Amino acid sequence: MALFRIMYYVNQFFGGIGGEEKADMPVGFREEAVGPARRFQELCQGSLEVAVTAYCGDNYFAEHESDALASILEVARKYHVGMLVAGPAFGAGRYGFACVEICHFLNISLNIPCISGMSVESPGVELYKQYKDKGVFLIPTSEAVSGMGEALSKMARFASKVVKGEAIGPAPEEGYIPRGFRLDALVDKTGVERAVDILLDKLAGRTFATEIPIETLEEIPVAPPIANLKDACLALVSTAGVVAPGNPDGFKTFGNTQWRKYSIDKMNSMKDARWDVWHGGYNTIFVHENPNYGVPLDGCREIEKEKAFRKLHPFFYSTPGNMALISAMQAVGKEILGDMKAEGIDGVLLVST
Amino acid sequence: MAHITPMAMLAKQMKSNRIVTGTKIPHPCGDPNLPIEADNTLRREIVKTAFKALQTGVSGPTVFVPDISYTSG
Repeated sequence: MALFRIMYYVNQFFGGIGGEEKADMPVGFREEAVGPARRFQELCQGSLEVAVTAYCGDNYFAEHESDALASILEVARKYHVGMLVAGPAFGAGRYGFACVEICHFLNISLNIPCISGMSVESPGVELYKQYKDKGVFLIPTSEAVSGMGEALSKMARFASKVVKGEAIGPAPEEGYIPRGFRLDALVDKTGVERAVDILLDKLAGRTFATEIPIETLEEIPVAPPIANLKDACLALVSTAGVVAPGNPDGFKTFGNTQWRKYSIDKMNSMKDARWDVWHGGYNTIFVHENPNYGVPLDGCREIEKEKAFRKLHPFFYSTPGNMALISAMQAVGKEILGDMKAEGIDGVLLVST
Repeated sequence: MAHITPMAMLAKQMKSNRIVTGTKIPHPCGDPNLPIEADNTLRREIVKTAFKALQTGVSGPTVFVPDISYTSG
């Protein structure tokens, strides 16, 4: 039987080309296992073969990402690889990013599993959690390169399992870094019984594990204060679910992934037009009767007349916020921000229910 | 950005930097139980507090409470 063929990715250093002075080196390929790929292949004990190793300078990848990804994809296709393995990148920032970008790109382009390894502190891990690809797995490694042996062993064990087509279980069981998926599973006890068990363990000081870990969030860089509000154009954003009548934009009442902006030009109050309230997470009766509770247009107009700020942007932004994925809402936030920057908005009032 | 929300503590956990305490989840900006004038005044105060927050330098998640009596949460 033909061996399962994989592509391996390393940076210029692990590819044996050189250190920082070679970081501008473009993508290259060798039709064999290079550097850590050799040991990785040995550890997989004949379950797979490294058909081609791709290598690239850390700076080159960061500066020419789309070109680098395109060449890697072309070669991955040419060699008909069934998996990509990258790194391990340990604590290295640029290398970790590159590994995650390549894993994401090959996974979505070729629908092949992709595995990498890096320190949980690496900035690549944050990107991995944002991409949240079902077929990409990061194995946690040490911060320093001295953990190479252990990292490769863990990656090889995991890769061998994937090659065999075995089902991959939850992150804590399989040892990869959690991506934030909640997997279905059959258990003997009901939720009530499990919750009481956890409570009893907690009260007795025993160790216990939550079934719903809360995602920990990064600090958000603080925007400087607006120095001169009198010159500022301000915009309203609301997650209360105020949308056009009849919900023509097809918002969902939960798990929403999109946003719209609606005109409030020449209106003094949200009551001057008809709206629907599309939100499955709270009793919408009050906002339905008076949408100013969710989009405080009337209050803003009064203060605008007092010339406390230059003007209110003639549209408000709406995205019903209920049971949505943080990653989806971050994407929505980025898009809204892009629109606001193009419109020259200086400050934002966000109302969330 | 100033973030008006009745769940200020949750907003803090979510790392929102300029948080303004709103009224209640079903009506963050105002209170339908109040007479209409008082309701409007409350909403204006909440918005004014958001403007104050926009003009205030902060170093991390900070909660601004409108200077008017109401029940939040």
